[in-house]
Amino acid sequence: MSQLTSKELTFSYANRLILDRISMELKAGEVVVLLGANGAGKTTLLQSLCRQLRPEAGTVEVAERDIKLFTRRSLAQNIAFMPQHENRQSELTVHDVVSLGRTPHSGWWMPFSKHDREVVEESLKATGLSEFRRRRITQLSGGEWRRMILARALAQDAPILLLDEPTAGLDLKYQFDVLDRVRRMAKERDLVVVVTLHDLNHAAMFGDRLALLFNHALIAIGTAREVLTPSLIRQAFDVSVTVIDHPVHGTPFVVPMYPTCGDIQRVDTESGTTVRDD
Amino acid sequence: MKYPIVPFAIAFVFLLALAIVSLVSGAVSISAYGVLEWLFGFEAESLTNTERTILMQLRLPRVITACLVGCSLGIAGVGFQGLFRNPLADPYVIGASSGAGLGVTLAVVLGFQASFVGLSGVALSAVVGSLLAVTVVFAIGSVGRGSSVLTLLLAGVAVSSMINAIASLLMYLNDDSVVVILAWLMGSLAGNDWSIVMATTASSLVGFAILWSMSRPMDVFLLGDVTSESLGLDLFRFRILLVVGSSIATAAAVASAGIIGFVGLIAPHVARRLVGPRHLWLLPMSACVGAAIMMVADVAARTVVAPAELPVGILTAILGCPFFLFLLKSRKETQDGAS
Repeated sequence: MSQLTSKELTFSYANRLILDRISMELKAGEVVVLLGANGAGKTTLLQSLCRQLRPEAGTVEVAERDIKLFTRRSLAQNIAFMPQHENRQSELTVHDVVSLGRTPHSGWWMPFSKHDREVVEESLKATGLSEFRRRRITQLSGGEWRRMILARALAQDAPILLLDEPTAGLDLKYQFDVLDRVRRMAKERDLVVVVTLHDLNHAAMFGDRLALLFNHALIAIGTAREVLTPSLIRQAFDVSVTVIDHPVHGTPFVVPMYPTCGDIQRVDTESGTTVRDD
Repeated sequence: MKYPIVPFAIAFVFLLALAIVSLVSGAVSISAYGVLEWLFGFEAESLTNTERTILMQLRLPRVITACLVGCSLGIAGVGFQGLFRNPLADPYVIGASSGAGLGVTLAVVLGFQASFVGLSGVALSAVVGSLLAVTVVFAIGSVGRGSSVLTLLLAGVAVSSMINAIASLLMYLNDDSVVVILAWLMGSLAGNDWSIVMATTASSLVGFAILWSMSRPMDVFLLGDVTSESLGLDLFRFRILLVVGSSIATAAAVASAGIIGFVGLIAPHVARRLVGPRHLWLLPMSACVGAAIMMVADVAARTVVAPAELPVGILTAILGCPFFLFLLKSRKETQDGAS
């Protein structure tokens, strides 16, 4: 059964088409990476999937039920969305903010239960934030802040997780850490995870399926091998690449071919010597 | 700090002490010992009958009203600062003050005489005026997709300016009523009796109940619209409830004391320093701080030029403004230090 489905999803803003008839079916336990150049519509798609934006045509269904029929709260119990930006100007602590992830479950008045507190602790631990719990969010670095909102999304404990650039601004260790953790959670808890990433090689390693947006439309969705081809990448990003196999993991590995500038050398594959393109 | 018991205990003792000072001081000074005896239900033989009447009929209702007005302004301040996510917002930025002012002006000019649960026609018009102004601001500010905080703030400024102009025009055309209107606009706690205490208690309790029940959503709302929605908050319903709760609290204050500035602005700032930003504790603490400011201002209003009396609204502004600037400066310094 498809857990999250979009059918002919279309969105425009100020008469400008942003999403053009996007149809996808995502299954539980699956990690789908959204790829596309800046402005291709990745964030808009994520926001439409969780009713942050109202599409002008088409539908989104969670467990085969139109999301328009959900209340805000029940939608939040089903979909956790990690935004790229949010207001950081409050004196709340890391623990306060992560605890707010339990709001869809506890409601407006109920004090947090023992289970709520345990989930919050787990999420803090999973993102390596346990020792930051008392720190004010105004004092966090960009990377720590991003891990905190990821922790909050995890604390929301929803079957569908939409992550908008969860690795932006993180150093390499935490990029791997976050992606690895999210992937493991998707498998263990049978979650649907949709995540936008910029790094094609992370996408290849981390995603079960990759969805490529270009010109506001979905031009490919499939395994890394199906989507990460030089021609599709050239079409979507307007760059030349070559795709090789990852020497250790065997997954497709995208190697950019840098535009030939006078001072950039390349290796002549036949002779093995370094040549200069002039 | 899980339960901030210490700040609340200190606030409680402080308020009690202020209340006693407030009961003791005034045009006729009454001994503190007698007041204590009287308060705690003893015979209080040291007090004369006149003193007892002054305490019961004049000072106690006045102290309680001051306390309630301060509480209401304190929580309304938290409500509006939360709604605008702006520490400079206060009950009057959204147009409540101007609306009340126009209500008062109209009531005086037209000689409106009705009364309801102990509130005079002028007080009622102030309440209706402030609620109408807030409704208009909210209706204009929330038109269109994703009513932003900035739109609401700008709508508040624009509507307030227009309402103020209309009120000024009315005063200009009816210059014989200007003194009465101005006295009201400057804010005063004089002449409040038990019926007003009851009405103020009821409305401030309703305002407080509405806002306090929303403490968690108000925490969520701090994080922005997108995050609030993704955490299950129905923004439209939330904003309406927040405006209703804050307006009821503002109306409670305006109806019994006229227009009193700065308390709603300062109390939340002080409270935030004492108990942090979580609304579960911030709201009651802001109520305590508001009450304390009002009582201090009221004692000053009664004693500075005794036996005459100053409008308490003028004093809150005179005391409040430098204090607020001090807060702004120290806030800027902490931010500079952090960056």
